Parts: sequence; structure tokens; C-alpha cells
Amino acid sequence: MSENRTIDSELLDALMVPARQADYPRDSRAFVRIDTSLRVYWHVLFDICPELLELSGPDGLSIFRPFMAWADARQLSMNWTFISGFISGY
Amino acid sequence: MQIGLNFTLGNTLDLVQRLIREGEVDYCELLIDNFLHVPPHELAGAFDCPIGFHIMFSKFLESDPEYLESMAARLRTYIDVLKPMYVSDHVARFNHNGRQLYHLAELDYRSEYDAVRQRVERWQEKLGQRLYLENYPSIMDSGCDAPGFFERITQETGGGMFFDASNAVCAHHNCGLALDAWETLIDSTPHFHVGSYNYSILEPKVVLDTHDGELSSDTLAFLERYKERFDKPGATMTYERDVNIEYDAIVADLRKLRAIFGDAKAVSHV
Repeated sequence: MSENRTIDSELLDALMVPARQADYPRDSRAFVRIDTSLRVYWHVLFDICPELLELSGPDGLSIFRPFMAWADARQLSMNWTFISGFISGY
Repeated sequence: MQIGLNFTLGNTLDLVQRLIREGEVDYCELLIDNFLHVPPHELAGAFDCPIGFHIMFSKFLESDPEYLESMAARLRTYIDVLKPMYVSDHVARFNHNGRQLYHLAELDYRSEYDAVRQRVERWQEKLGQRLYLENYPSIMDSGCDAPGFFERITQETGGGMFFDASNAVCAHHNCGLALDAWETLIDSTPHFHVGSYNYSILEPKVVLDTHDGELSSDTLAFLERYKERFDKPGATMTYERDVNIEYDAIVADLRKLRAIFGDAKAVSHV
């Protein structure tokens, strides 16, 4: 793209893949936009099952990041089966 | 200007009915997807005021034709019975490669125009009435293409603009899109949304459409500056509040809107 701009659709592949967030500078709007997306998945997981935080530590990342990578590798739909996917597969 | 509230979940029914009864709102907008399990006549009987429809999960830009045909058939039943003032839907991306996005994404307005136009035409035809299209609360630079996209698509499809004023304020903060860029679209439509925004956790802060608190001063200033453009015969301004749903706080914001548009507190519907 000739213009110096980043559009939302360029970030789609990263919106549910924590590892892809590092493709963008930490001080960029893109980084924050991806973080905003990832936080929703985080809440869907830990708000429903806060006991997981007792296993992972308070930020949940030791569970969240590998789970999201696993879900990406298997292309989980992340629809209403999100939690059952976590329980049954991960 | 008619002032309304977006009603999303059944557990706030008492609050919404009180707002109607006490004349704080002139109409109620239903997030209609959430009420398709309620028989239409029962739904109509629950609200002693005009109704608007806001569709959330048709995902009409992505869903397969069979699903949309089925959903449209169900929606038409509700349209026939409740005769909403408008039917609106979202112009956003709900999935990527078959995976659900929990924070909706913005379209690439340049490359996707033709496909979106076809989808709008088909969805509008299936619904059997004019479809009002809501602007996205842009974070990234794609937002700068939104006004031109909406001008063109509403002209070419006969659809309407469902202008979310606070989403435009989000886009202004995040990608520098001037609020003036929406003038033609504000003039073109009588139907509007407004709600609160908040800030991202991380720096650099981006502005997020959160509907979780009171209207910001710059959103109110935007409405004030353009009030003659917003206000027109049949105009509706729907206040969205999805979090921290407290009666007094909602009333305070509704009255700020009434103050801008010069309306006395509405006469009771009782």
C-alpha cells in the first residue's frame, strides 16, 4: 500500500493470535487494537471460569496464550463452543 | 427530536418500561435478535410507545443465503406486527476465516465495496423495507474511508445511513477523521445512535465504543454543534447503554440529549 496507513483488515490474522501481536510495534495503534481484541477472548474464558486464574496466576497468560495458539492451530471457530473447546481439547 | 433507548436484554425490561411510563424516552429500540423467541404480539404489548429495530447478528455481509432467508422471514413477522420506525443493521466483520471475532472488525471500504453493495441490496430486499446501515467506531485508518463509502452505498442501494454520533467521535480520536466529513450523511438521515466511549487499557490510548457510562463532553458538543442537521421531522436519537445500567444515570444522559434538542421532558405515555 502506497499510503502510510494501516487499515483494520490488515490486522485480522492477529486479532485472536497473541503471538502475532508482536509483529507490531509496542507503541503502535495496531498493537493496542490487537490487545483490545485479545482481551475479549481472555474475559470470555476467565470470567466464566475464574478458578482458572488460581492455576495460571493472576494474569492468566500461562493458560491463555498457549490455549489461543492451540485454538489457532486447530482453527477453532470461537463461537458458542469456545468453552467446550477449552474443556474438551486443551 | 425523539429520544429513545436501546433495549438489549430482558432483565432490564422493568427499567425500560419505567422510562417509557415516566416520559423519559419517546420510543424504544429493540436489539431484535434477542427477542425473536417472544411472540410478536406479546412483544408489541410490552411497549406502550413506538419501536425501532436494531439487528445485531444477521451478519448479513457474511452469512449464507439460506440463513439470511430464514432470519428475514422471522424478522418480517415482527416488522409486520410491530411496524418499527426503522430497521437497522451493522456494517462490520463478525468472522475471519470462519472464526468468530469477539471485537468486531472494520471493513476495507475500498476493496470490499462491490461485494458489500450486493449484500446490502439482497438483505434489504429480503427484509422488504429500507435498511439503515450503521457506521463502525473506527480504530485504524480504514475509518477515513467510511464517509465516502456510506455516501456511495446509500445512494446506490437506496438504503439509509444509521449514523452513530459517538462512533464518529471514536473515529475522530483514533484516526483523525474530521466530524465534518459526516455532514452530508447526517443531513441524509433521520436516525441516530449515541453512547459513551472509554479508553483502551494500553498506551497509546485508543477510544473504544463501550456504552458503559455517561456521554462524553465532546460527543455532546458534537450534537450541539450539529443539532440543526440532526433534528428533522421523524428524527430519532437512540441512547445506548449496555453496562452500568442505572436508572438515574441513564435519565441524566437522556435529559442532556433533550436539553440539546430543545425538548421539554416528554409527556407521559400513561
